[in-house]
Amino acid sequence: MGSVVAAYTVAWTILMIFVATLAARQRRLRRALERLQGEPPAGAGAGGAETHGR
Amino acid sequence: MPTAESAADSGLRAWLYAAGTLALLLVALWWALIGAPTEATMGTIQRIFYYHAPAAFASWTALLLNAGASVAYLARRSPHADALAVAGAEVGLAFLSITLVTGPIWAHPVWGVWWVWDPRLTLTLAMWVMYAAYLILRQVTPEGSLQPRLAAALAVIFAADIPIDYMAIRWWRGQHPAPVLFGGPNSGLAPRMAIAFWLSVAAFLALMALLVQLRYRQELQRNQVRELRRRRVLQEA
Amino acid sequence: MGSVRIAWAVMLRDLRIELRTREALLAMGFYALLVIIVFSFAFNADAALTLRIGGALLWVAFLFAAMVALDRAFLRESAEAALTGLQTTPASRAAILAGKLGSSFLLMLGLEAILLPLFAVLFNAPPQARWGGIAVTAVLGTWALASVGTYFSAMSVHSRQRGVLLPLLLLPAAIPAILAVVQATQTYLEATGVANYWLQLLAGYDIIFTSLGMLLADAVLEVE
Repeated sequence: MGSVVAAYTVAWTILMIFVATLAARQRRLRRALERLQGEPPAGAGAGGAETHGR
Repeated sequence: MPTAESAADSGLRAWLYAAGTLALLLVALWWALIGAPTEATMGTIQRIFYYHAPAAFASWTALLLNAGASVAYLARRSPHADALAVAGAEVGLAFLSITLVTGPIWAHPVWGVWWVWDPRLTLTLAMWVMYAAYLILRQVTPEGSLQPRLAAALAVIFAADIPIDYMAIRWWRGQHPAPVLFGGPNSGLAPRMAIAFWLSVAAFLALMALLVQLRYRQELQRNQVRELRRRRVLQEA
Repeated sequence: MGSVRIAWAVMLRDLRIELRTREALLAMGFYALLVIIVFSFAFNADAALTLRIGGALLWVAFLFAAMVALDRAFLRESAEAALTGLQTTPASRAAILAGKLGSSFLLMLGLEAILLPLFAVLFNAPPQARWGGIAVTAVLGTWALASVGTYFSAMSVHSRQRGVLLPLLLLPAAIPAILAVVQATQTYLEATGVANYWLQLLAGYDIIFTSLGMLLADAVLEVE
């Protein structure tokens, strides 16, 4: 039983790390994009990665 | 640039898709841990299989996307193909990691050892090293047209390498359990195990598609930021 | 026809530069020699051990030497933007890559010809060893390393971490070739039979990756 829990935990952890990295990069990107365009873009980039990361 | 309306629309669709994937993952998780019957000879430990094999399928699909996109990039030099190639490689590597970690956790109680140099294990490890090298190449190559070009050239070599690798490694060793899905008449899964297994496959493939899509869009945005930066520098000069 | 002549010219030019400066040859030779010596200390090499893992020891030494040779293949062009000069000539890039492949291959092979007897003496190679088979394996295996290696050398020359990148790309890609050369060499060292299918695998690897490299030469040698 312990092995099964360990395996499933590791699998989910790897996925969480992937999503967290994706979200962090997305936040950085959005900030850079906002700075470059001078104003927050309407909806662009808000759709996916960042919100799923939380 | 997408208009505000279409962006909001695609945002909604992305949300729905993500929610559906999460639901599917949870249903599959329930089936894998509780719904499926406990295997007769191996016991509970066999439940690792419901994550181990589907993760492998998802990684192969993602890496196949990487190979296809890399060939497309070399032919057309489209930044979209390059973005898909990065997304495929990163997501594929993540799923490969899951396969590689869950494997030894299963093997230790069943085989008595963490790792054997069996064809499929060795090949999976080799693939992991290859695509890690691919991502490192992307990291250390200067940005611009050079980076996607070299990455695509490398991805094609690696993709061609995998079947040869498999052949070489198979001549060398063998211990992985025979495929339970398409093997002989005695192989095959009990019906309720099959439900758990295919649900997991579907969930992992859906998750793979979702992650590839998110990473793909992110890469396109990264290109956009780079382009805007370049333009700003040119303006200031 | 023109391409063959260009490849020949690039190869001869590279070899001539190498024979004048002896940069790669010295580094390769000394490196491989050290690997062999360190191994004989580390493993306390005797004839029984050589019989068991001699093939692997020999090819690890060759592999290190190959890495140095391949690293130099395009590094040689870094002075005074020689690479850009080479890239902007009307010569086909496949021909340039083929020339580089030829010169790296010959350099590596030459070095192996010196190292092999040395290895046989230092490691007390078994008397029944079939040196003809080992030589064929070395030719096919060296071509395998040179074919993917030259290609990767052209790729890694642009990188900030060139020295690390080349082995990082070469080793995973060369896994089937390394498996095959070690197994074949081992078979001929022990004289337990003929390693035909390993040699066939090596030949297949050579053909596939040489042609892929030529096909994709434009992608790695294109001017920015």
